[in-house]
Amino acid sequence: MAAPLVSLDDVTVQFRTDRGWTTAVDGISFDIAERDCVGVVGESGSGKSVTALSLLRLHARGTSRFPRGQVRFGGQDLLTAPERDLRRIRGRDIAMVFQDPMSSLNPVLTVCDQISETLRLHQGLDRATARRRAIELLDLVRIPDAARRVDDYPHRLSGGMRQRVMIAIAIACRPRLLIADEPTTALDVTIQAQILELLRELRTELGMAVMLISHDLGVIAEFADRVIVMYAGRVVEDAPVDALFRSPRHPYTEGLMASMPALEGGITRLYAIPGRIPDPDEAIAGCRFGPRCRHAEAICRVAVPELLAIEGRHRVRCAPRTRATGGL
Amino acid sequence: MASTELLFTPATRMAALIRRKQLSPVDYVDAVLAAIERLQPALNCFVTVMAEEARAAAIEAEQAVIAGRPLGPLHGVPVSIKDLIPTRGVRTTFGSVAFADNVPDRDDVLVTRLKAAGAIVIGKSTTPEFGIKGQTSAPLFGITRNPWDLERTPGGSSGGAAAAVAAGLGPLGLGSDGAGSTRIPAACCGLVGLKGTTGAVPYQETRDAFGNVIAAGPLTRTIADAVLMQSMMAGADPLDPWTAHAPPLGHISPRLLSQDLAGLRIGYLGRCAGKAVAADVAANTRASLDVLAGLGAEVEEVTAEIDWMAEDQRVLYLCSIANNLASVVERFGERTDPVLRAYVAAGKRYDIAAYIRAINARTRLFRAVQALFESYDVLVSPTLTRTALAADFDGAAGIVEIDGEAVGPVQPNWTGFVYPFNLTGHPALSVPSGWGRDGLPTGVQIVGPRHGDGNVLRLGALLEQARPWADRRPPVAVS
Amino acid sequence: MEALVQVRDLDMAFPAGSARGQPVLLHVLHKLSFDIGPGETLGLVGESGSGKSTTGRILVGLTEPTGGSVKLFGRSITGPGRRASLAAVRARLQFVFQDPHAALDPRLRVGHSIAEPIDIAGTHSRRERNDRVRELLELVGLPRDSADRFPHEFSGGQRQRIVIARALALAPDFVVCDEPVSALDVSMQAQIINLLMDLQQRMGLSYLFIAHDLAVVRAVAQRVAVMYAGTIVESARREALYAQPQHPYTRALLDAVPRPDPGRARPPVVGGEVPSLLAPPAGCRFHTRCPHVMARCRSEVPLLRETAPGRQTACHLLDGAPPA
Repeated sequence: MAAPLVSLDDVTVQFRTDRGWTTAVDGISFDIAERDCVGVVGESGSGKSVTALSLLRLHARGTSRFPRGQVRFGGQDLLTAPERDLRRIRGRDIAMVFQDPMSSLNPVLTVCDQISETLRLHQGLDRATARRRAIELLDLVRIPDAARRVDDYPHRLSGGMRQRVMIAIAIACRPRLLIADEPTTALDVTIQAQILELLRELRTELGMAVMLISHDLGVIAEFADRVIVMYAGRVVEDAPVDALFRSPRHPYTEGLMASMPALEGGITRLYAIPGRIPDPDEAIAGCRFGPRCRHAEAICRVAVPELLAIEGRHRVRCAPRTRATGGL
Repeated sequence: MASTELLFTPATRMAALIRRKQLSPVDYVDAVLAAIERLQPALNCFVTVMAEEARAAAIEAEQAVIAGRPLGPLHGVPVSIKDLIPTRGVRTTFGSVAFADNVPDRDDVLVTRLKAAGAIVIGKSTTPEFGIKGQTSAPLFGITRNPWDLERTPGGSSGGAAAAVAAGLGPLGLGSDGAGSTRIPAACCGLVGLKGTTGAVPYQETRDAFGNVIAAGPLTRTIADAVLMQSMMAGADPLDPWTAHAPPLGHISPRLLSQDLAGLRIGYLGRCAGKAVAADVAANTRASLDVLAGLGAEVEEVTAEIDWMAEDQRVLYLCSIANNLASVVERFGERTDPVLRAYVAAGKRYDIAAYIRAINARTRLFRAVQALFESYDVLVSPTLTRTALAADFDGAAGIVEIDGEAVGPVQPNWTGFVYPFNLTGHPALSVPSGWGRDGLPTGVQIVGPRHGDGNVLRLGALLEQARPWADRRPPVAVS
Repeated sequence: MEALVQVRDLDMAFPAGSARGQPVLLHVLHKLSFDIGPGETLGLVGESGSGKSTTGRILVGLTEPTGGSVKLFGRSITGPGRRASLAAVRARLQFVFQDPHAALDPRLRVGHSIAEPIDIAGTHSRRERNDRVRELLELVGLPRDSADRFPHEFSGGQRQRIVIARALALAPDFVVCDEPVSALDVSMQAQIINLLMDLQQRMGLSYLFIAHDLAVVRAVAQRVAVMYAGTIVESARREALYAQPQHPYTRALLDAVPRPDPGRARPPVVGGEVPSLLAPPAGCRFHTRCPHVMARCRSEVPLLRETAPGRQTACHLLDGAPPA
């Protein structure tokens, strides 16, 4: 098997709070292969975005730290690489698209200025070439009338169009990995469908790997090849998309699916996972889902389960569910 | 990982490291064997060290990891087995010269199950003769000492297992508890000790299966290790009738799932049949109760009058010893423990009528304790009335001193809180409650309704989370 | 069944600056009509700019429409006498909005916030008031000691429970819920949906349930109206609407929702964006995006008309032909 494009190994991120260092993500390990599409799904506080940011070390400096773990990319550990190297990697090899394009776009620069900036920084293009390339990119992200739109300011664009511009900037240097963090969450459902379709097409056209972060299991199901389910700072399940949706194995994943209202089938009372999502600094012995799990056993409430393979590439962090393969 | 860290890391974590190929079971077992070699002369906690067998098993364990074979939850983790429990091909003495050369041709089912889970047996831990007393010494091997203070006993009768685990000589010790023999050493050595509901794990080594009061169980530094080890041993066994319909171990009630104990009723047993509880032990018990109260539990002192039937307890205990072990004493005389001889002599004085009365009293005791669970979800008490006694304390004639006052014989004045729950079969757990004025550990006992083992362990885990104890190491340990 | 809520030909236009000396109007609602019966939930679904939230605000009296009529419990809250009518129905009418953070004053203890409508109404003695607060906390599944705590001590889901408790303080008959679960995580969302359904059962409440999430609306509403650019394009019983949508926009909306089914054959994606309400398209407002557009759709506004019993759709495709 070829070496993965990016490899996260035991990545742990802590943030400084009034009460000391709080662990936001704890021992995250998974690989992303070339051209792979990995979906990361979780609710708030799951650490999915924090994990994504660690690939580019975009957390605020001074108030965050990595007590252990590595992000291996191109022979380097991105968690310890010099800032100079990271600047080269960001935008060129690994690019990112966020939920809210308005806060990532500069309101006083035109679309052309913003796309050119990346091109000139990483590819050293002159102004005219960069402009031509910017128009090509807007075409590529299916913005109608690109030659005119290129001179618009962001506020003149709809939410969907702004997200297309963000994607154009992200793919400007043909990155090998695109990280999309809730790229469609702020959009209406028909626009969401358009953006997801666009990302699918671009992924094939450009041959890039994608890490898609979403709270929406539907978005993940329709986009990812492989799914990482996170809960309260840990990976609880990691499986090929078909296996995950056909037979979820972690009680949290099961609960999440059962609590989603459906558009087809009978209308029944929803299953509601009891309790609430824990705060990051909440001390919970054992499995962090234990307090809400209807299958919890004593071992679950005292010992931290490991992420173990149950069959093939399906891994799950649950003591009872992994007992046959060496779980607690 | 430095070798001392390795010795004091919980089994759950070590097993995880081994499965992830970050730790070689061979290195691990070697480190433990090296530590045993250094500390055995001071602690005298092993009757037999199985260095060769353990190394061979570790090599095999390592190969299994490399080959990617399915690995049990305890894969590569060292465990010691109390010498009352038979091990195939390895001398099993019951602590007695009478069995100095006894080599069983079978493993007890618990040994079989631990090995099947991947554990590596590193030795047989010391026990007083036939496990009859709360201190661990016998003519066969001498005196086992407490790593917190070599002048003190590690308790008994699973004293060897407790001394070993406390000193970092393997994270798991298999003990057995017929009158507090797992909980007493746990309290003396600052460990977790569990006596599960009768039948939760099988006990093959009793002659009276129906009247059985003995439960084997884990001695560990953490609750997680205890739960893990106990779950590996649980399950029905044809030789133990109590195991037939025992529910799966470790299930906990939804009320105890969250961190919120609102609505949980705790009965505090401040006194049993004993006369006094040392001030430091009482204070530490209170502190533990405060933790649970802080999480929302209602704590109420048990005021119901309970007849703890101290005299009948003595009858049951001594009659069993006298009638089962008189022949050993007759044959080996001076080479047996004087305490055993005294117990046999005392037990012979009871007639059958006294014995039947005592058996009936046991039923009354069960019903009285069972009735407490109408009012309370769990009972909490000190495990022992004071810290560890002297290593050479006379278990038969010695008088226990509490806070400078002589109060009476060990049973019930030291161990009065533990034995009743062997007779009633309720699950009882001892976890550290703190340290006494003399710097020795103290224990708190949590007792639950029958088959509430998971609930009792869960409360132990909440105490552990609030007042962790496993980081503090005894003075006698490899450093 | 007599309608508790009766909305007829509702129009709403905001002045939005001027162009070439002429005032420009933002037409956010256009000829909206619907009824809500006692104990019934009407789901109002649509994308941003559909006008669904404005409709909710009009129904609770926060905004006055520029045209049409709204009758609540038989009293008109539009036109002359609006003020008196609103005062008369105020106690029977409540609302729950999307953001539970903004809805609660962070400086007020939860008990105080919940009792606010009671205190304003001045209908309860001190003791009755405090008993009622405890009763309400229990009703929405919060611990009894919550009354003395502050909003920041609660999670998002719990805060929404507090907001619901406050809405129920005066035992209303009709509650407008505008995106009540969209700020919540999935696992919290299910708890709140179940709570709203339980409360409806126990208290016979009627809801106007406004949401962009079609699946959430399906879980709670017996009847659903789909809005697009200020108009209702389709309204039907939930079973019919989701199983056999009639309007091309409803179909497009349903098709666009990603399903937790990786094997699903994805239907084609509808193109374009919601039109500007400053210059809405002539004819059918959806014609710029409709895959079935015909010449007449560009000029002639389709009327919402009955296509089957209890079912209305505004689409020229259904003219003459029996309902699909």
